[in-house]
Amino acid sequence: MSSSLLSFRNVVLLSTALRVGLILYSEWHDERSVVKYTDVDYRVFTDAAAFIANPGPGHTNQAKGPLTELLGRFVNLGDPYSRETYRYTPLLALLLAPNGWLHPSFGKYLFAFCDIVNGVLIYQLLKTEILSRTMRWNPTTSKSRAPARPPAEIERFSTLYAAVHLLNPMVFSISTRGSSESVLSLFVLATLYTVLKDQWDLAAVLLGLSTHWKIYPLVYGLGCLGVISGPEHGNGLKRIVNWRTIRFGFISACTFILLGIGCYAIWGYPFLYESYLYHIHRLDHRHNFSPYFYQTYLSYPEYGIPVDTTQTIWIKLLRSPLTSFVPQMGLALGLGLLFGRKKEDLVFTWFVQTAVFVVFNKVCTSQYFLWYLLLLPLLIPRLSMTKGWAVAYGAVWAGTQALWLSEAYKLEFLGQSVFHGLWWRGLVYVVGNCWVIAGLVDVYDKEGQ
Amino acid sequence: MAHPYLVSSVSPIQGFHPISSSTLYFAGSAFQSVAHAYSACHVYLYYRLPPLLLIDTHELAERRKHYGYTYWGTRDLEKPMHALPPEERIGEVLLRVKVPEQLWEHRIPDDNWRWEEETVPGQGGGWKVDVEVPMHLRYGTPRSTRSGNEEDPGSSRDPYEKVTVDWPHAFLLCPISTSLKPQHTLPHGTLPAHVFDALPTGHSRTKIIIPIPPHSNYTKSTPSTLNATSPPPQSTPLTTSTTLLLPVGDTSDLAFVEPVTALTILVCFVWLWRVSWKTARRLNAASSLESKEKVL
Repeated sequence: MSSSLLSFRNVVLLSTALRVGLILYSEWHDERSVVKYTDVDYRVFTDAAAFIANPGPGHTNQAKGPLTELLGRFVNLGDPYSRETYRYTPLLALLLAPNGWLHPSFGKYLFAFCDIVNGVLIYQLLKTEILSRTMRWNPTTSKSRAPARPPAEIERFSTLYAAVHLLNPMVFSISTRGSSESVLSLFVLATLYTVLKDQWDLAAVLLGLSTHWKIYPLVYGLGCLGVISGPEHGNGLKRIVNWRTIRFGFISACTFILLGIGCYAIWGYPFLYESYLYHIHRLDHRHNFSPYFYQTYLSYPEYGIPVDTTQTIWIKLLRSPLTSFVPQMGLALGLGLLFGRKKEDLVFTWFVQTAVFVVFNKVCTSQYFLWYLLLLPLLIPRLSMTKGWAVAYGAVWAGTQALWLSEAYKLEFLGQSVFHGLWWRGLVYVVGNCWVIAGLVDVYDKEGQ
Repeated sequence: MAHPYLVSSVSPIQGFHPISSSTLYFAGSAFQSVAHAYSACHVYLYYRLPPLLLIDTHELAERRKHYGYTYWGTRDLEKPMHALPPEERIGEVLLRVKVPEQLWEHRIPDDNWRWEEETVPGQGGGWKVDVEVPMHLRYGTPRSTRSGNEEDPGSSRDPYEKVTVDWPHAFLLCPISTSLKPQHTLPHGTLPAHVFDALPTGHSRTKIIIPIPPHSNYTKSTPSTLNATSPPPQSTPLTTSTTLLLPVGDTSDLAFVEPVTALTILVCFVWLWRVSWKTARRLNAASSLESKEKVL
């Protein structure tokens, strides 16, 4: 196949055509089938956008913030949280306002566009930062630094790895079905891009925006601290607390707080509760990849029945939120501090932080995998493993999901009593994914075998 | 003249997403002479849902081409049944289906209306309309299936809970001047006051309610006991309810599930920390030696 066919331009064109085709198909399919191609979440976003754009009637569906009450008729916006299960920032609903007056699929085109931009960012990062850097000096083999790759090779591999994202079926099906993950992915990649280009103030703003959108990117801030400081601050406390890290943290926190204040001023407590507070106390009892679902369901508080205060210390410990929170955040934050020392390790740091956050979370659905799959094309060049091991890791990652999904189908659609089996498969999912993460951590930046 | 009648079912009986499918038959050759009268009416179906069953009103809104709706009940779609306040566990829906004028012209108004040559033997052809309502099951209250006490009705070894779903009540709402004559009356208490109030004219006397009863083959008798392993016997009378089977969790699993989950998470946590620490040392050693090489 000639190199002109494999150009990044052609990959982008193919990816764009694929996404446009799928969006058009989704419109045709949903008109004719009871089982919809479009994700339920897209309907939630669209409804929330419609509520914002069409306040009322009367006192119902009105933004409830202090600014709205003060300015009255000058700020006449509806409440996106009138839509049940809308638990996102109101900025997302505002982004999708054109769904109501331009075209119902506007949001899907927006998410697909974000996918493409993400692919371009990945390509640029690979070309200018990751593949253009030389390999680390290996003390075991005493090999000095390998020479930089020739430009043609850099171009070819940048295109190939960017295509891993752009032509990933999980990526394009999620965005064309109307899930908004690509928007957050864009913010995360933009943050990474500005960090790797040493544009720290802009990176801090983008990190604040990403954290406003969803809380988990907060952990990336910790991964940046050692990188921000540079080698002159050594490895002690000064590596984490110095004027550079304080400035970065301050700008990032200000961005997050200002966005929060702005949204609260307009939409009030419902914004605060649905976007953030709900996620602190949520109990996900319905089946999902996380094995925690089953004990959450079995111990779900019954209405009107007070919590049993005669529980043993052992039971209280097992049911304490800290039992799940400490391992999850201990790894997500700890690995950020452990690996976040050099700029060239930042992609790896963010990848493992995200992967452990997802695997150890009390709830996990397929969309969460995108959070770390996004960074995989940027990490691949630094993983030293044979094709056999790569296939093995991929097979275990996919296989544990398939194992769980086959049992979940029996519960959800065939109504069979398979809770116990589903829980076991949730454990297999956790152990299998930890095996993959451990394997990738082990082979990171080793000389090729 | 054959009068309209209703046949309804909910399927599948196992699975969390059953669909209620109702068919209203406007049968009989004499129908054509009164089809114009029917076109001045609206068809209503009233559903009273058992506590474990819920309807997503946004899914009903997607079917606005076929029917309008009014809903009473909780909008909380996520909690298991036992976490809801008792007063929020029952949901009610009133659907409104327009009887289109095109019927008496033999023109098909939309996909849901179909003409059949002989719906009732000896009565000639007629129209029928399909009404589908997607439903969903909440998670049920978990129970211990290992310590069932035969004498205690509150305990059970059955890992399934039975959910009985009655047919909707169907009726026509017609102008008082209609030539149609009701052959039945709705049983007392079928439609609560708030449902009456939701009808276009509420309790006024400008409209008349004409019930559309179930087909005469169906009765309100109690269905025979159903379990997941055997189908109902052929001699069971057809009834105006469907029994769904909902799998429920086993509380006796909790003693095992909680510690094993916690232990697995802890082992994985330690394992990943060990591997990460080893890799971090390798990376730091390489960096240190590289720095020394640069200095030299």
